Amino acid sequence: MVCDLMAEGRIVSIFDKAVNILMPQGLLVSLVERRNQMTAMSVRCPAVFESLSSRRLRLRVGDTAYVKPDRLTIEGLRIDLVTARRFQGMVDPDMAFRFDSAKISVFDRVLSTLGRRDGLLELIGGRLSGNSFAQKGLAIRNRILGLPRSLMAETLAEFVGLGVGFTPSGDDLICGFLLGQKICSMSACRLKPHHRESLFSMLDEAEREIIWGSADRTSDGGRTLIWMALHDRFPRFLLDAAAGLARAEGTAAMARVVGAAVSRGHTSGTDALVGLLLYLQMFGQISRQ
Amino acid sequence: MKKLIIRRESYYDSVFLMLASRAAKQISGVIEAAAVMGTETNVDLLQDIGFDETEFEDVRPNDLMVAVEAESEEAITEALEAVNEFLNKKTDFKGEEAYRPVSLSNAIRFAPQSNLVLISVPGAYAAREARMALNNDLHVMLFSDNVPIEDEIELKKTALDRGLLMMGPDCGTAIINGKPLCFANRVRQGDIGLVAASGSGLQEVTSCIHRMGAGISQAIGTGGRDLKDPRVGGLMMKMGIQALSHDRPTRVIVVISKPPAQALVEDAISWLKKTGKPCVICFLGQRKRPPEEDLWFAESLEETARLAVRLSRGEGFSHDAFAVSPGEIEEIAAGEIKRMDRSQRYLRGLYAGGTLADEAIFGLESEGIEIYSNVQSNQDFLLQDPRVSRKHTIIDLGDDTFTLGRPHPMIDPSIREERLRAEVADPEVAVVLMDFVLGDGAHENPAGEIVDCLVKARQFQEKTGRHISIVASITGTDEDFQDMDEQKKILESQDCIVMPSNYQAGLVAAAIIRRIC
Amino acid sequence: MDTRKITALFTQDLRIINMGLVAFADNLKGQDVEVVQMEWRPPAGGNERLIALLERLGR
Repeated sequence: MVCDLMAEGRIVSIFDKAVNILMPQGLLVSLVERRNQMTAMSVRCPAVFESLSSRRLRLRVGDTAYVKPDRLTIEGLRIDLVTARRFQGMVDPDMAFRFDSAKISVFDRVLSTLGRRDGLLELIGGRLSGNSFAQKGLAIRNRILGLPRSLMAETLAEFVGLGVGFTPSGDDLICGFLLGQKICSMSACRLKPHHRESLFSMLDEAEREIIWGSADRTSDGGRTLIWMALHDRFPRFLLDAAAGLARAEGTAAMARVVGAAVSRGHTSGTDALVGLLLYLQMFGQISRQ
Repeated sequence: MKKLIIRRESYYDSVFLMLASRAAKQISGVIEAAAVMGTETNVDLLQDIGFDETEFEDVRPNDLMVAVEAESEEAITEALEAVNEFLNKKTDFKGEEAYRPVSLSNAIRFAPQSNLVLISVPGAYAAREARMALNNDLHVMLFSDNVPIEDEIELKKTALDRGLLMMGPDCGTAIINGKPLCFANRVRQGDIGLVAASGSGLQEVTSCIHRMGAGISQAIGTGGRDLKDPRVGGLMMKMGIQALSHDRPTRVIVVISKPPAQALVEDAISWLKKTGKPCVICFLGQRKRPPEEDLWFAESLEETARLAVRLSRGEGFSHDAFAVSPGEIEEIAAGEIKRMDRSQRYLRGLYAGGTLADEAIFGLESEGIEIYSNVQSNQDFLLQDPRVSRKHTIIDLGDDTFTLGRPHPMIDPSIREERLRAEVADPEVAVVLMDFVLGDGAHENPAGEIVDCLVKARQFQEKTGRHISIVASITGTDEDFQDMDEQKKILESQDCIVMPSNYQAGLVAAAIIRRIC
Repeated sequence: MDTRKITALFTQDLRIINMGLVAFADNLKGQDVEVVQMEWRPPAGGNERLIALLERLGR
C-alpha cells in the first residue's frame, strides 16, 4: 500500500512529468511518469501522462482526486495503486540486520568521508560546514544523548523542518532515525528476552502524535516524508541502503552502498543516513543470536 | 549580493517550489536561489544567511519568499524573472490553499495576535479544545453541542477566573465588534448591547433593532443551557451583563432567553439592576411584569427591540412605521377567511429558528389557543410523533429528531419543504406559519427554495377551492447577503402574507384562527 | 469578576482561529475579518486513552 489515506485531495500542480495532489492532512502525493520520484508518496502511473498528452484526459489545478488504499481516481480515470510501482516500502521482516559496534564505526567513517556537506553531516563529527541549521541540529543531538526516554519524542520533533530544500534536512534525519528504530525493534524480537529492556522501544502512538504535531512547521514535501516514516514506510533507496549495509562485509562494500545512497537529492541521502547512524550509535547495538 | 521578494498569500506545493528554485539556479551568475514558504523556520534560516530581519516583518506561512544570491544585479533580476515566469505559468492556478495548522498550539504559534477561537468540532472533543483556548488566554465561541454539562460548568468557571468570554456550548449566534459570528445578521453599530441564551431570538431582536433604525454595540451569546440549568447558574449571562455594564459605547442592555429556571430569573434581574444602565428583559414565556426602576420586561422579541430602541432614542421613538395596526391585521384575517372552506380549521407552524417557534407557541397560547409541538414544555401537548401534526401544531424543525444526520433547516430548506408539502395536502389546515431566517450561515435563498412547493400548493388549492393562508416573517436586514426585499417579493408572489416580525406573523395567524373557532 | 479583557476585545480587531466548519471562516473572510482556518482532526486518532495522555503531556 502506498498510503492508507482515504480522502479527497486537490491537484495543486501539473507538470509534464509529475502531477501533485494535496491531501487534507497537508500531505503531497506525486503521480510521476517514470523513474523521477517526487515526494515521499510517489506513484508511477505512465497511463496518466499518456492520457494527458493524447488529450484523452484533461486535468486542471483544483480538480479533485479521490484516494483510497487501493486506487486513486481523477476525472474518472482510475489508477490502481496495488500494482503501480511505488518508490517507498516497508522494512522486510525476514531481513536479518546485524549492526555490531565494529560495523557501526565503519559506517561512521565511510559516511563522514563520502557524505555531502551543507546538510546535517556534521552531527556525526567532522568538519563544520558553517550552516546555521546544522548548529541547531548539533544542539538537539547533544540534548538527546542525555535525555530520559519520556522526552525523546518532543526533542526529536525539534528536527522537523530544520533546513531548506524540498525535504528539509531535519525531516530526512528523522526518517533515517525512525528507520533505525524500526529495524532494531524488529530484530529485537529475535533476541533473548532480557536484552529487550536495554533497547529503545518503538515510539508509541502518543509519541508519534507529538512528532506529527510539529509537522506543520515544515513543507508539504517534508510533512509527507515524516508521515510516511511515522507509518513505517520509507523511501526505497533508504531501505535498499539499510539492507545493503546489513549485508556488507568490509569497508569497500559499505563504501559502495553509502556512495549510492548519498547521491540522492542534494543532501537527502546523506541526512537520512546520518539519522540512521545516530540511532544505531545511541541505541542499536544488536547482534545475531 | 542578495535579494528577497515576498508574495503574499500564495501557496505553492513543495514540488512546484523546488522546480521554481531550480529554474532560478540555472541562470548564470546565480550562486544560490530558494523559493520557500514563509514558515518560522524558513524565515530564521534566511535571516541566518544574511537577510535582514526587517524584510520579514509580517511574513506568514502562506506567503511565498524568493531569495536569490548572485554575482551581479543583472543575474539577480534574471533569476527573479525566471521564478516569476514559472510561478505565473499556471494562469488558472488560484493559489488559495492557505496554511492550515493542525493543532491549536500551532495555530496560536502561527497567529499569536489571535483573540478568539471559534469551535465547531464534534462535541466529544470540543471541551478539550475550548479548555486549551482559555488556558492560552483566548476568548471562545463554542458552537458545538452535545458537550457534557460538567464540562460546560468547568469551562465557564475557568472563563470567569480568567475574565474571558466563553460563549457556549451550543451557541450559534453572536455579533462582536460589528462582525456576525456563525449564524448572525449584519446589523448597524449603535449603543444597544445584548446578551442572549438563544440564537434565533438574538437574530430576531438585532434585526428588528436595525430595521427600526437603531444599532447594537455587542451581541454576546451564552449557549442554550446557561440560564436554563441551575447548575450552570447563568455564569456567562452574568459575565456578559457585567462586561456590557463596563463597556462605554453600550447605553442600553438587553437580555434574551428561552424560559429560564425561576431562581435564575431573579438573579438576572439583580445583575441588571447593578449595571445602572436601562435594561430590557425578554424571558419568553414569562408573563409580563411592570417595569422596575429602569428595568423593562418584554413579552415578545419585537417588543424587546422596540423597548430597547425607545430607551436608546428617548421617548420620541415611534413604533408606527414598524408595526401593522390591529385594525389592518383584522382586515387581513377577514380577507383570508373568505377564501377558505368550512373544513379548514387548523394552524401549522414550521420553524427553523427554535426561539421563533417558542415565541409563536407562547403568543398563540396567550390568546387561548392550544398548541401541540415537539418542543412543548407542557407534557399534555407534546407531540407523540414529531413527524405527524395534530390539531394546531408548531414544529421546531431544528430540533435533534430532525437534524440527526441532516443539516439544520436554516442551511438546508428541503427539510421544511418536505413537511410543508404534507401540511398543505391536509384538508383541515387553514394557516401555515413560517420563519425565514437570513444572515451569515443561512441559506442564500430560503424563499426561493420553497417556491416550487408553494406554486404546486396554490395550483392544488385552485382546483379544490381551499385557500391556505401562508403567513411568514423574514428575520434579516438590508445588509445581509441575501436580498431581503427579493425574498419578500418571492413569497408575496405566491400569495403569502409577509409580516415585519415573527410576533406580528403570530398575531395574524391568531386572528385567523379566532375567526374560525 | 474582572471583565477588562472582554471590554478590551470590544476595542480590538477580531483575529479569529476557526476550528471546524470552513463555512464560518469563509463568511468571516468575506467581512474582512482575519481568520486562520485549522485543519482539525481528532487527536490521537480519537483514542480516548491517548487523548488523556496527550493532555498530561500538555498538548
